[in-house]
Amino acid sequence: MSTKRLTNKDVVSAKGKKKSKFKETWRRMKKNKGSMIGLVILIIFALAAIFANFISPEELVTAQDAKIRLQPPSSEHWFGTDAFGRDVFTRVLYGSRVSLTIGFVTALFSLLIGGVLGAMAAFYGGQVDNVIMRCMDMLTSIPSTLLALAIVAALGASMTNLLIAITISSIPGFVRLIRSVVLTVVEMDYVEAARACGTRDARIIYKHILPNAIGTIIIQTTSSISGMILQASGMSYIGMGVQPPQPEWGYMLSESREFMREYPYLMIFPGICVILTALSFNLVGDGLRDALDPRLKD
Amino acid sequence: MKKKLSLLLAMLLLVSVLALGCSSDTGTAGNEGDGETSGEKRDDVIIYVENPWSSLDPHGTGATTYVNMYLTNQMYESLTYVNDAGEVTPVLAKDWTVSDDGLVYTFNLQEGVKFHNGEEMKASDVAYSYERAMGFPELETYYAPIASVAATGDYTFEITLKYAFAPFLTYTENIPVVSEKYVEEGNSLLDTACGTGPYQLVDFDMNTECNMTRFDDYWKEPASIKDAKFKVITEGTTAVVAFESGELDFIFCFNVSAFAPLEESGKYNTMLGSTYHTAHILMNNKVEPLDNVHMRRALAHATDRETMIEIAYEGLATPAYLMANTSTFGVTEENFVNAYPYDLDLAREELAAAGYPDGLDLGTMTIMGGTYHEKYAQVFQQSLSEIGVTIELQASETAVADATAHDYTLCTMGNGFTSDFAYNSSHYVPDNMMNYDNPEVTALFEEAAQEQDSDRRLELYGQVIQIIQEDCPNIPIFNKQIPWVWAKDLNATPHINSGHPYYVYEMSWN
Repeated sequence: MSTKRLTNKDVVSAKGKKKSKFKETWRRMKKNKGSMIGLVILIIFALAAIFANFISPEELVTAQDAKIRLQPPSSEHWFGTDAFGRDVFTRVLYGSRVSLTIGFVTALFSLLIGGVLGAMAAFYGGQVDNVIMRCMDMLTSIPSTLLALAIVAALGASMTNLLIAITISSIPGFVRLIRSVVLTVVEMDYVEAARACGTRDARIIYKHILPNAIGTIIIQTTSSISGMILQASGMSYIGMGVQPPQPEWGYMLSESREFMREYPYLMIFPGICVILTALSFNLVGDGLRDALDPRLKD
Repeated sequence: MKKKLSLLLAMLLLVSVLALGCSSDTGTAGNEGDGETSGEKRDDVIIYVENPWSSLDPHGTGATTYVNMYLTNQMYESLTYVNDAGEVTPVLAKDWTVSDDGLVYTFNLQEGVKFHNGEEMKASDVAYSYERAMGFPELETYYAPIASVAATGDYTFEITLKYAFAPFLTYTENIPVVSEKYVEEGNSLLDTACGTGPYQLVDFDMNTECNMTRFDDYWKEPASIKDAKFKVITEGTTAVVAFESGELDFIFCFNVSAFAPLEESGKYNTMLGSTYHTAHILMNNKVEPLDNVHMRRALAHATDRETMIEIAYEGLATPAYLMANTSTFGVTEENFVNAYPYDLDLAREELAAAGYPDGLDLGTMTIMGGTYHEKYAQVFQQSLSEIGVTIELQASETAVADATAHDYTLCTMGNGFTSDFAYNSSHYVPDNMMNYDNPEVTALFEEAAQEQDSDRRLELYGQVIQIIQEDCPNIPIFNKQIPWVWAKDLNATPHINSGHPYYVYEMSWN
């Protein structure tokens, strides 16, 4: 009951009020310490990824020097050097580009494709719904990592194929979620009213349905990014993802595995980065969920 | 309240992790003294295996896979054995004669040799084994020269060749003898075994472990070790930890970097065992622009073996300039030379001669699984980038199959060789992985294989090697050495042949 009242109110909201909704969300998110910590970490990583060139020259990512291999952290090499004599700090730094790109690109594409399919399934129902959802059932019947592995194995291991594989394997989750959200919205009186007025389908979806489903979608996207980054790292770890000498964290972990006992720092730094990034996305996702949840209002 | 509880739980977790860490430390110390404290001599041995097995069949699927051979080596025997000096020594064959034309080999067999099922080994079993082996493509290299086999008596066995093939005797090492009766009774050799070896199978789980026990009716002195357990551990570091804690007695360092600390500790027996194995870079000789010899030479000149060995194999491999080394008959100190020393200027010259003075993009280089291939490939990629040649590395599960089908441009590869250069015809005579075809080389290999005079053979191989070095069909990188480590009180003798690296029969406890 209460949800219905709230959504009705939202629909009536004018442009100015939308802005205040954003402000309201931000205000409530600020109260959540965890999500703020997550956001700070995330911003640091994002800045590091964007301004990596200014911190350490790109040549150092692949520059090998057998004379200085496997050196412990020092003022010259903050995170030490790896088996090739490459600077681990530079590699970890540029690794944030790879990992964040994977996270954002896959999330964006799964959201777009999953969003369209999910909305169509819910909005049109019947046969369309049946066809789309049965296809998704097929995809979900295979564990997502296995599916991604199979796709990479078929297409060949590379960054692009990894992006494709993770996107495809995470689409079903998005379709299911968005379908369920849209389903609840689609039966609202205002949607029916819009239909009765002869509004075009696309406009109804865009103007009435999506704005009311956006909260859930944002939460789903944010929290799925961490999963995607982890999955990409996992795939690279087993050699089915980003190819050498690109500095992907998961791949760096796999490279340092054999030196784990003698040179643990090789593993620690990329490991910490993977953990922190995944954690920060989760924290932000949780914060957003709490902030956007109408039931938790004040 | 909730907060306090979760804090408490977190602390508990931390403490238990710490406690575990400490306990494993003390555990190690305790286990090291295992042998001494118990005071009794052990009669079992636990051996590390790096990958799951695929079969126990000594002829069929997986007969040429090293991990499978670790097991079959203990349970089966062949007519002969090639020792580390490359000499053919008798095993199931007592002695043999070769006809003057080099076509007929007559073997006198050992008498009183028993199979694990109690049956006595007869010449008919040997003939049956050869015929059975000849039905499997895995062993084709070894049986290719054979025209027919026959049991000419209970203990005499005869092989007739299609053509004279000088190193044929060394090939008889690779065809193990199985019990005809056992197989004909319908027993599968895939997961059971019946040979004449010093150990018989107790149980076999393809993915985890295999147990064997001493065969009491063995025709030679019974083995010193009673029970042998083979344990699969797919993670190299885990294996080393298991070894240090006393769970394994005999290992090799799958991750080569683990060897130095173990050796320096002085607590174990260690040995760097040379191998019949070459890591090399395949260049598809029929794909543009690698069909141009200058292009191939440019890449060879850009190959920094020293750094590759340092980075990819912790400096524990020896540089290779051919698909064999001086331990092979046919390769001498004079012709085992680096025809293309690492020199980027020379590489640029060759690149210009090939018509690419400014470098080019060579596309994808396929990387085989295994720790070191990926590493030297990255060193190669780095050197190439300095002469303007770009390549993209791509790991592939199907590298071997693709290379066999010539579906690649550049590829890392590892191949074995034998004590005789004749085996190398498989690398240089069509249809080989390099897609290399030089009729002169093919003819010389054929002539050398049939030549009975060893001086003349040596001369012919000298000519082959010279042509190969000029043509530069591939880039040999290094011959790896296996870093063996075993318990201080265990006597063991690792061997040079990668397929026959050790025999439990030769092991004993002090």
